[in-house]
Amino acid sequence: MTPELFRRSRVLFDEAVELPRAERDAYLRRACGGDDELREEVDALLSESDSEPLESGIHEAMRSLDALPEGTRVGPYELVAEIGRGGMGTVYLARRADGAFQRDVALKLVGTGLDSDAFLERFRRERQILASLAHPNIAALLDGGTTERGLPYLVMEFVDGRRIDVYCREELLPLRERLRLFVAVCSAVQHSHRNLVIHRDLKPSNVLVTGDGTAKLLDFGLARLLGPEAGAERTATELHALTPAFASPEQIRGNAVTTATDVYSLGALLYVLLTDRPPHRTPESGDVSAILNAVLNEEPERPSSAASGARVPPDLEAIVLRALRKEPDARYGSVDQLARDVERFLAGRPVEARRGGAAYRARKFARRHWTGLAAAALVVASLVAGLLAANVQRRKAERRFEDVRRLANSYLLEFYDAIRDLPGSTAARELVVKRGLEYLDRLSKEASGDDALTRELAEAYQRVGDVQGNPFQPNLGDLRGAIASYRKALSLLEPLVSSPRATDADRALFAKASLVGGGILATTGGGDEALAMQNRGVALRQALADAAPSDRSRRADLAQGLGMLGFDLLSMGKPREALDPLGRQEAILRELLEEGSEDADLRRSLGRTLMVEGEAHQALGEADRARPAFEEALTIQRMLVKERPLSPLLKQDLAYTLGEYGTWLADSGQASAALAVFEERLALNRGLAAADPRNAAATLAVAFSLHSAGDQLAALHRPAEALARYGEAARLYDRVVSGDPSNSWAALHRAWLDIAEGRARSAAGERGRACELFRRSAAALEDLERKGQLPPIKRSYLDEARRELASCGAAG
Amino acid sequence: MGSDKRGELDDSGEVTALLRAWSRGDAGAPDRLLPLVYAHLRRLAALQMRRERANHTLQPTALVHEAYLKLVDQHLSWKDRGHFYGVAARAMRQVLVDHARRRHAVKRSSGAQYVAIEVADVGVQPRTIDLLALDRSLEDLAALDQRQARLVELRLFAGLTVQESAEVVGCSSATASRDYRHAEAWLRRQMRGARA
Repeated sequence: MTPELFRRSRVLFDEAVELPRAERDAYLRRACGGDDELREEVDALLSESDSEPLESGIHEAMRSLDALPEGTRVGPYELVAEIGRGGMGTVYLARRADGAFQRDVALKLVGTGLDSDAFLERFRRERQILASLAHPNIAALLDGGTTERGLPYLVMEFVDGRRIDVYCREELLPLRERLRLFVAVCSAVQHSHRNLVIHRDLKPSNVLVTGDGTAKLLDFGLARLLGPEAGAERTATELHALTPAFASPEQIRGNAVTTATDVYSLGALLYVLLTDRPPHRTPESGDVSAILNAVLNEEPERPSSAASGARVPPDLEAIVLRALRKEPDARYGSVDQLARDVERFLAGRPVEARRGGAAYRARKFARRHWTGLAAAALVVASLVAGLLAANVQRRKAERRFEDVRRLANSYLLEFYDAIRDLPGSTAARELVVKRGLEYLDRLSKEASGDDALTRELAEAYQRVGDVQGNPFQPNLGDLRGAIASYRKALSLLEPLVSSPRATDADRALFAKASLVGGGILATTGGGDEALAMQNRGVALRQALADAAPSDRSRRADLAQGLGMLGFDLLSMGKPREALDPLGRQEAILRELLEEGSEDADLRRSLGRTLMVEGEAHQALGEADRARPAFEEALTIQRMLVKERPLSPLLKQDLAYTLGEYGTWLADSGQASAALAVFEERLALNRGLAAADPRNAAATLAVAFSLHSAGDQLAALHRPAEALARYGEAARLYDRVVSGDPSNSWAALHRAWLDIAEGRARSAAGERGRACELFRRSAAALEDLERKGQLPPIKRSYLDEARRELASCGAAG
Repeated sequence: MGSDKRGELDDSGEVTALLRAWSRGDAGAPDRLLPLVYAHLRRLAALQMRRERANHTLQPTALVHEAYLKLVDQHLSWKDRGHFYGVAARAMRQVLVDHARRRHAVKRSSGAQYVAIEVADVGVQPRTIDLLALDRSLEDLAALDQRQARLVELRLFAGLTVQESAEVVGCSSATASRDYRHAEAWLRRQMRGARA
């Protein structure tokens, strides 16, 4: 710019800016007198004069100064570089500073002002929940703690990827692939909803896509972690943290946030993936109140007219708009339903979004009555009864019949989840299951010939079966009922799977039902039939994997099926036969790990496989094979625990393997090696019990560990230390028994511990005290026997107590 | 804490002496002052961070003022104080620009796209400004109008009010206020042009 133009435009700017807007044009026309360059310059300056002051930008820039320098230690981590920041804190690329492992992690240092005691308490509690959200499309929360100065931090899996919208744009991803990515995101959100975690902050920048095309959700539940407690006032921090274009109307209003909130934000995300722009545009000025108003009051532009390039099919448009409804009740009832509708579109079937509102009305009814979780049992009863009545009336009205069917599928699960953790809710849960089954049984009679209904019923039966007695999740312990439900699922699917209409999804569903159903059957002694079911499941998964060799998830499923079969063979006392599927599982897992991306789930599976193989070799007396299997399993599991110290599951895995390995070492006479292993298990179990102090099983695990460690100390002729372990174990057993006198398992082990302590006292020369213990143990075991609480396999305890007591009599 | 304080006090005699030398006509004084104040401001910013206070947002005003209280003998003349703020504003600008430059470099080299918590999202304009562009535009402005550039520096980076900055520069508040209004519009336009 020439000094001349600068000077002249400045003079005119000073004059014009003082004038009312309406008069500026006339003034400038006169003053510039046809000098276009001058006029243009003054207009440009005037248009800038209303923008936000530069000062506020500087204040933002100042905030970035408070970054911690590289190399700073935070807990056991060392910061490598700052990679992002926002209202809630700063994210760093970080690495373990103690060299425990060389993996990059993302460390989020939560902003200041959030370090009150109440917050930190909540932080610890919630962190535990978030750490258990294991899903391939969720960036795992690995660790967390507080800095020396008490500032909380979180450690997450580091995802090297691009934002989902950027990825779709840059890769020119075709529609179908965009939708598949979206469905993967939905499955992650659905998974978290089942764990009662709402994301609350879904937006493109929270979904990254890695180089191999995997979508990963970040910051799961962080909004909840950092948001206020239910009912509390919203803080400025939370408002600041919202991204207006993706926040739901209820969030902006400050109303209750539910799973429907995530449905809305997913709708907004889908909108972006279809049109490359958000549903509500912010004006150029960046005026946030305008966009808030739009989210609350304006309908988004129809995606078909908003999309710049590709055409948006009407069915997809209906799906997006359904998810984006202002009223939470008017949206899809669950993320699962949204995802299924997208899948229906992908499969070329009619979508639910374009159907009428009977389900909507029924949902509204349910929600109106869903006043509190405590009342859930009543709601379930009335809802299900209502559905049954409704179904009788509507039997012939096909369309409504479909709505009802949909309700059954999602509600069964939602209610179950909602009341699962309420104390004393067993009766309510049983009622849910009972009514749900009655309902499904009626529908099944009408299902013949309707493939879609058959599929959904089979899936619903599986879900009911899981709730009844899937040993791999919290359940009602009704194994017989679970098996019956699984059989129903299988017999519904059988004709479909053997027909030419069968899809891969049908075969996968059948395989899963065969494997899980067979697994449950195996635990109740249904040996040969259980194995036949599992073999069939494995064969189906093998065929699915062979049909698509590049599909990693199918091979992972096959590996999982082989593992279930191997485990059941082993527990049926067939270690030789078990080794074949286990070996195949191991090979597949190793292949998958070698091929590709770092995957904690695969490593966890491999650890478990090796552990089961170790047990099988041990059962066959093949020590030279058992040892390396156990040791590799331990290496993997120790590493995983180190990487994710918050995950109780990984610690439980490791504790289990240590127990098996230690027992084997002890049995083969290697007491000092066994002692080291048991001491490690003890430390782990202490940590688990400390995190969950009311969990009696966790307390018992500590007592068992103390007991085993004490036995080895006794064998090594270190009686004083052995007695210290036994003493602590005794106190823990007593605590559990006094809290729950009906816990015969604890009482049984308490009696067994008395024998061990008696022997140690005897070895230390305290014969009198030893005999007292033997006497007490025998009396307790006899009492248990009288009550029918002494399992046959533990009969030997009583025999030993009597034998020890007899020697007392002889001596005394 | 005690040792920190002593470290800061060590500089203070030197800063005051340099400011006085400047008033006496020592032309080399400003060049020796700048690195001293720069280092001090950086230390203050880091210290501020470590205090982790609830009302945490750092403000240039607060930082520069704190530096003033710690570095400068309170009996300085009005003119010396003006010199100090001039240097402090320049140092603060340098601190921010250097920081922005480093962050830029890190982002480029790590290749990571982890910008998850950036408040700026699709359709919402980022509130942070491009400091590097501002720095360049301010250079351009200084070439056209030295006084405007100094006023902007004092206001943005030392947090002085229009009145205060007018005193430091030596003009009336009305002039300073008009200068600043124009400078701000001009800079924004210049920065926009640099982005496009």
